[in-house]
Amino acid sequence: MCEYCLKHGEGKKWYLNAKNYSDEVLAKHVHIVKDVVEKVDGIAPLTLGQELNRYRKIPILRRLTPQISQRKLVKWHFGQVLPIEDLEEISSFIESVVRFSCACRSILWGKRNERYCYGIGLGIFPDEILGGYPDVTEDLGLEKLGKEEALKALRAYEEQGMVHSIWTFGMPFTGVICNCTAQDCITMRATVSYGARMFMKGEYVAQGDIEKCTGCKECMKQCNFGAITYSPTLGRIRINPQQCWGCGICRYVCSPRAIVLKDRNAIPGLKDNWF
Amino acid sequence: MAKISIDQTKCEFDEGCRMCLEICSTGVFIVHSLKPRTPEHGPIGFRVSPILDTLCIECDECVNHCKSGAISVRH
Repeated sequence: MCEYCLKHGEGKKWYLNAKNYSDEVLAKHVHIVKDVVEKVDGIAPLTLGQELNRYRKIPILRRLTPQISQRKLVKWHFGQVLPIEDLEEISSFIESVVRFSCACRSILWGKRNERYCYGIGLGIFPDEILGGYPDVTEDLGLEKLGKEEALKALRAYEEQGMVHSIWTFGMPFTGVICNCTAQDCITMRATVSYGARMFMKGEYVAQGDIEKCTGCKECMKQCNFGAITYSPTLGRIRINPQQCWGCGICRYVCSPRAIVLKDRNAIPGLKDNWF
Repeated sequence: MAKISIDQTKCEFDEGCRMCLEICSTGVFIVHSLKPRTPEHGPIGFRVSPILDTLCIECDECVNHCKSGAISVRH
């Protein structure tokens, strides 16, 4: 179990503990929610960029970038990769889903109406907390969805190679599901390419069955983390467990069903490999 | 760190088994030759060794897949 599951999971994974979505936890974190929503599309990418620049220039800070960024982000807006099965489990206890446009795609590509973010809660709609939504979503605002409809859309994203992740507003209050590729997500870029720690690997790790794999290489196109490589000698793919983030979207395109997700915590060499 | 050992008397590499080499996702095992001192001592032999055991993540896939039960991993 990751440190956050131990701290906030009450025996389960932290994001499967319904308490972390509740009104009472929200009450303590509502100022963080407002702060994130206000800054995420405005001042936050600027500060983030400046800080990363500063860290890269000063050697001691450069070495400490992972620790500093993790400590800061856990208090603000931190996330974890999760597979569709866990999203299904979450959908069994949450009550409300709203879809809104993605701030990362707005920052990185200047596209302001890419609707891939899902606000989830126990009967709380973001507009009720925020009293109308700031300009992040001014074009179309919040779209209320049914749970089944939302799950269907989430499953469809897997085909396009999008990784699901779940996000907090100050650990442990949980409120957003993101769907992105490594190119579309600002935190994924910072984490995978610049050594910052803004979200963590999932609780799982993919494992290939060498007898079932036909070497079609479809899974390689799905992987956002470069964990899958192909051997022409063997005519098969191989998954590097150290680089696997456990999102499980490679399974979606694998027609011989050769890839399964294993529990990361059950493999001694991986149980501390979260970034 | 895991201590991996291969019982060379049970290993079926010479019979064409390559299972541990292919199943290990981190690449712990390699094949190396055993050169006889002089040609009279016999032909060149090969054996599998868990040389890069620092890469081992202790997933136990090799132990589970080895048909002859020659591999053991001590955690």
